Amino acid sequence: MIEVEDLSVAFGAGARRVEVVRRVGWTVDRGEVFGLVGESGCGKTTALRAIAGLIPLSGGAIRIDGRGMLMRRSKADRRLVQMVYQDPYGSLNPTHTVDRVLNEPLAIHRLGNRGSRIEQALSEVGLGPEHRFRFPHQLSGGQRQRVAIARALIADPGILLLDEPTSALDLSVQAEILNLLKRIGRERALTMLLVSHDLAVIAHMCDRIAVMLKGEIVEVMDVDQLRRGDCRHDYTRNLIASTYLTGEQRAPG
Amino acid sequence: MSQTPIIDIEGLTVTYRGQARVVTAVKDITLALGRERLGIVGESGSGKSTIGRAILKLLPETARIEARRLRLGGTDLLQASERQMRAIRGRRISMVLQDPKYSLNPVITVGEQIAESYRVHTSSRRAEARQRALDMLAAVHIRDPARVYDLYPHEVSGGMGQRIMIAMMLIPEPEVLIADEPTSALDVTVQARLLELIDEIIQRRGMALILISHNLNLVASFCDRVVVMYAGRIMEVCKASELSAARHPYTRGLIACRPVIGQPVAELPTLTRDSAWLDAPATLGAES
Repeated sequence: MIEVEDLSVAFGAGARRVEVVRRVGWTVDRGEVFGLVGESGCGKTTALRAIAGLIPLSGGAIRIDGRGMLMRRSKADRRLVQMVYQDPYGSLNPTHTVDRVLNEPLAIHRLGNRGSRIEQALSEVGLGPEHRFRFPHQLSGGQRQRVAIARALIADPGILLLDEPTSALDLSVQAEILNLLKRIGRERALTMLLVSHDLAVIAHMCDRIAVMLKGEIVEVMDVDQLRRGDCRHDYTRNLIASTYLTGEQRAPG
Repeated sequence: MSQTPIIDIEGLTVTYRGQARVVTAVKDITLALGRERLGIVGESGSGKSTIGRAILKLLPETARIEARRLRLGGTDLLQASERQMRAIRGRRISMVLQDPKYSLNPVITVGEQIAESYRVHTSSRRAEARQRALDMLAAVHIRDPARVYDLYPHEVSGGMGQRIMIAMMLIPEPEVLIADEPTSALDVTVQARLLELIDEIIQRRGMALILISHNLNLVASFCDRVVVMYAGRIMEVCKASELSAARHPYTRGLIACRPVIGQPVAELPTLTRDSAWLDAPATLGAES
């Protein structure tokens, strides 16, 4: 479904040119959930934005359904790939009601039955009709992220790109949003690419994982390898250790 | 705790006067801090930061602090005037906040900011303050103090910015450091090194630490004791090493709703909040 081959992304020009993603590659099968883990500045979000067509590549190729993707894309390709951002406080326009937020993708893609689509999208993410005409400041952080997910789903995409969807949320809210994403992904057979700095979140959601460090992929593994602690890189081991409570059982009990 | 507490709080309640109603941020908290590393954990809005700010009386004007007792050693903080509080802040209790980018003055070099923090509390000469600031930068393991002294905040990384904040907060040699989410803006590997540094300094100087964080793993691995807060109340106090075996249903719920790499589940348990938690007295777990 998604093929990333030798992808490079650089910012700046001349002497100030910095290559933040260097020749990374992976493939994601249809219906698979793929995780990209690493610390801030490792290039994981940049790679995701390049796949979404928000920034240009400086090298390599991105293919979706076998078709090469650049910045300029058809409306159908735009509709196919939708994104959920980290901060629901920043990614929703504070002057737009939920109704207006959800109307926009429908207007762009000229979809009909807007009222019923909006109600259906709200109910799919666990919100009710009473939330439809609220402004973002009248919603909690978790509810806002649900609106952001509804906005991504309302145009019926095949691929969902998730950029740290729960890192701005409290632990108990994180669990609700992860459960929601997992259920929707399964029900709609979505292909998902999840970026996070939290390896425990990635392990819970993903089938396969790539670990990024300083713009490069240092390791790709499947979730069973990760659960067994079967990794080659010390950096991955550090990330795993940081997710446990002192004295917590590390193997399935 | 064997010796007399450094900070002694009994029945602390903080309320905010809003336009239409009064909001209780912290309700009837009793807590004694010795020479230890005390963690306060809770979700957003639990009142954990309000406690730290109430101790320093750094709350907005709409806030009202009430307590039966709020003492720092022999000083009654409730009775202290704003002038007396200014002498206490920084000199006896100091505070490190989450994001150095917002806490440092962007138009003054970091070295001067550290030196100023020393000069405010001591009647020292400029040259002496400069030397102390350079020593302090070295003490927080900054490799080239003389170079870093002349940098502006935007020229340093997040981890270095937080070291600078710590240098600035520790240079007047306070008795208590309150660190409010000191590493939340930092990466895991930088986080670990920064906590080691805080630990080294508070151990060497015999200081007390209050570490406020939403991160259970971090608090459990770093602190001696943990206070778990919910809706302005203390739910539970326990030994940090025993947090994974905590008893209160709220703490258990928080621990259970985290994904754990080695223990896969199809669906994460979610937290069901119980209104009885708001009335019940705290389970004083392993407090000695």
